[in-house]
Amino acid sequence: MKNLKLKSARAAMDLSQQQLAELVGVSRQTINAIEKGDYNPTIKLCTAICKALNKTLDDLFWEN
Amino acid sequence: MSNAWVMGFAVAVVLVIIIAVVIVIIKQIRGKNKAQFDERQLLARNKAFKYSFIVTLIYAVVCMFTNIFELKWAPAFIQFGLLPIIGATIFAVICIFNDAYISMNYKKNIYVYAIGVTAMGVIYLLNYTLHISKAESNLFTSGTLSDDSLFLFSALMFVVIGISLIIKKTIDRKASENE
Repeated sequence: MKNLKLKSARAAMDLSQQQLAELVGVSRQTINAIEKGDYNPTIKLCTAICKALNKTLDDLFWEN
Repeated sequence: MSNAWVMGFAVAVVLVIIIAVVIVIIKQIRGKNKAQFDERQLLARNKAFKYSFIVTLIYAVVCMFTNIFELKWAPAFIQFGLLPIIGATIFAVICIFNDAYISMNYKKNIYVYAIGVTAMGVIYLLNYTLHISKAESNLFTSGTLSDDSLFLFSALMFVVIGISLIIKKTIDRKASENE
């Protein structure tokens, strides 16, 4: 399932996938795979993304 | 094939392995230039290794049966030489298309790497054609693969890896433009 919350949070901060990838120390393709729902990140990467985007885990990764 | 040729090839392979291992150890000790893969890339590499291992295992079993039933399709030297070539090619191609072949700290040099690998393939191909023209033989001799065919397969491996790198880079560039 696509992670549209992550994509919109990233877009809201005016960050490209590459910029976010550099902030959290992964490759651009990893961010792309997370947004497309092709890859399930570990909790460590989830928290790193949340910190970079100033969001909580619930905001970005909790599905209602 | 002369014994000198076989010995020369064996010594060259051993030398390359020793030099590669020494370089890797020195780099690991220094901690500088250490390959950096993220968690998704490590998973992709593990999966690629698994697939290449399974394929090489199947190839080894097929070779064993062809030898048992005396279906001679290539000399033992070629059969053995093809094993790492097949494994390395499968591993590299799966890694490349999962963006896990070149580490994040070497990404900027991807074109240099791709051109280098392709050039290596071209050199092997030239070597193969040179051998074929001198020996006046073909890919097959007496119904089995000729000794020189290993040059051709090595060339194919390098060319496939080089072209895969360039294709993947082009796909990535288009994807980041469309983002």
